[in-house]
Amino acid sequence: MVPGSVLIVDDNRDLADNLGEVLEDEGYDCAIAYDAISAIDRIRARHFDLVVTDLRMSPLDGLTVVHAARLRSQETIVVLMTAFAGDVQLEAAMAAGVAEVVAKPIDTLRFVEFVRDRVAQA
Amino acid sequence: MQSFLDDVRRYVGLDAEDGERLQGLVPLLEPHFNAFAEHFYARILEHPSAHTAITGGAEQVARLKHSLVAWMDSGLRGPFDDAFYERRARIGRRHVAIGLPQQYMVTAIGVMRQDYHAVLTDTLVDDVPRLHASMRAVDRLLDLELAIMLQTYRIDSDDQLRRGERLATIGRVAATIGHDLRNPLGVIESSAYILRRMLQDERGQRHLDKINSQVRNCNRIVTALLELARSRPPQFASIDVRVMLDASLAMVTIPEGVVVRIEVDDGMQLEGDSNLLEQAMINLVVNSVIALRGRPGTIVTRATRHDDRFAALIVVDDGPGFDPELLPRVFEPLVTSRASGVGLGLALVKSVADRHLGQAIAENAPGGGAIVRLLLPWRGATATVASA
Repeated sequence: MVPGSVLIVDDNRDLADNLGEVLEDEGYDCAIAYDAISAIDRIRARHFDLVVTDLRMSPLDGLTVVHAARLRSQETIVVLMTAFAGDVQLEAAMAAGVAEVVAKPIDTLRFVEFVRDRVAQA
Repeated sequence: MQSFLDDVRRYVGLDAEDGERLQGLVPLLEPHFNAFAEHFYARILEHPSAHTAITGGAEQVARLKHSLVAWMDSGLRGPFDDAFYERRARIGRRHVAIGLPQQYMVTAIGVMRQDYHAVLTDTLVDDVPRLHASMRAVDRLLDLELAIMLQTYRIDSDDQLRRGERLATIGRVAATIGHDLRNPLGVIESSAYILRRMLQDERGQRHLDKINSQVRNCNRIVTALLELARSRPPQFASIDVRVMLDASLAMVTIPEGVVVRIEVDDGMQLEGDSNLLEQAMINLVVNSVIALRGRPGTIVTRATRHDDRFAALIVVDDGPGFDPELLPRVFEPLVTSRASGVGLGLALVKSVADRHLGQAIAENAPGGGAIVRLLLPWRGATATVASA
C-alpha cells in the first residue's frame, strides 16, 4: 500500500530529483516538476496528497503552484520551500493556504519525517 | 602629518616665541592642572548625554582626568611635532569611536580656555603686557589643539561613513551568494543522505560523515553571511550562558592539542539574542583556532561581569595576537591578516555587539595572544532597546 502521493517542484533539478528519490525510497508515489507551469499541468491532471514547491522560480513563482493546488483540492497539503527566510511573499503564501514554510537548506532526514507526519495526518 | 600641523600652526599664528612663552607658563599653570581636570569633567558629567560616552564609571573618569593633565602638560611644553599631532589625533578618533558629536570638543576647549584665562589673569595682573601675550599664546595653542582634533574627527567620521556603505554593499553581495549556495548545499546533503542508505561499508560511511560535517560548516558560513547582511534586530530573551557557549563550541572543530575552556561567573544572567551571540562566539573561537595555526594552545571563552553597565563575553587565546597595524581596524569588513580569510567574522561580531547596543573590543594580551570582548548592556538597566 502506497503511503501517499507527492509532487516536488523545484527549478534546481538535482534537488527536486534527490527529494523525489528519497521519498520514492520511502514508498511514496512521487512526481517531479522543474517549473511552475509543468507543475500546474500535473496538478490539473491528477490528485496529490502533498505538494512541495520552491518559492522563487521563473517565469512563474511557487505561489502560482500553491493557487493551482488549492483550486484543484482543499485536501492537498501544500508546503513551500525557500532560502529567503525573511521573504515578503511569505505572508501571501500563508494567506493562500500553505500548510508550512520550510527554510532551505533542507535537512533531508527531517524532511522525510515531516512528510511522513503530514501525509499520515491527511 | 607635519605639513598639516605646520599649516594649521601658521594659520593660528602659533610661532616659536609663543612656544617659548607657553613653556614659561608651565610653572604658573601646572599647580592648577588637577583643578582644571576636575572642573572639566564636572562640566561634562552634568550633561545628560555624557553617560553614553563615559561608560566606565569613576575609574574611567579618574583615568580620563589623568590623561587630561598629561594633555595640558604636553600642550604647554611642546614641541609641536609628529608625536604631539598623533596624541591629539587619537583624541579626535576616540571621540568618533564613542560617537560623541564634535560640538562637544568645541565646548570642552572653551571650558579649558576659560580656566587658563582665569589663572593667567589672577597671576599676571600686575604685568599686563605679559598677560596679554600669554593669553594670546594659550589661545593659539587651544586653536591648534581644536583644529587637529576636528580634522582627525572629520577624517574618521568620513571613514566610518564609507565603512557603513561598504558593509551595505558587502551585505547585498553576501546575501545573493549565500542564497545561491544554499541550493547546491541542499543537493550535496540530500545526495549524501541517499548514498548513506546504499553504502554499507565503514569507509564509505566515514567519508559521508566528512561530507555532512563540511556541509554543516558551509551552512554556518552562509548563515553568518546572511546574518551580517540582514542585520535583523535582536530577539531578546534570557540566556543560559553556559548552554550558549557549549552550543557555539560544538559548531567548531577543535584541532588536537588545542584546549578550550569555558568560564562562567556563578549566577550569571544574560539577556540577549542567543542565536546572534552564538554566531559571534563561533566566529571568535574559529578565529582563535586559525590563529594558533595547528600549534598547541589554549582558548578560553569567558562570561563575566565587565562593570555596572556591561556584561562581557570574552574569547582569549595564546596565539600570536592581532597584527598591531590592523588592530584599530579589525572590526571593519574585509580587514584580515589571513591569506584565506575574507574578514567578515569580526565584522559580524561587531554587528552583533551594535545590535545589542553593546561594544566589541579587540586587543593584544600583554603576554601575547588575542583578547576580544563583546560587551552587552545589562538589560533591565536599559529600559527600552531600539531596533538596530
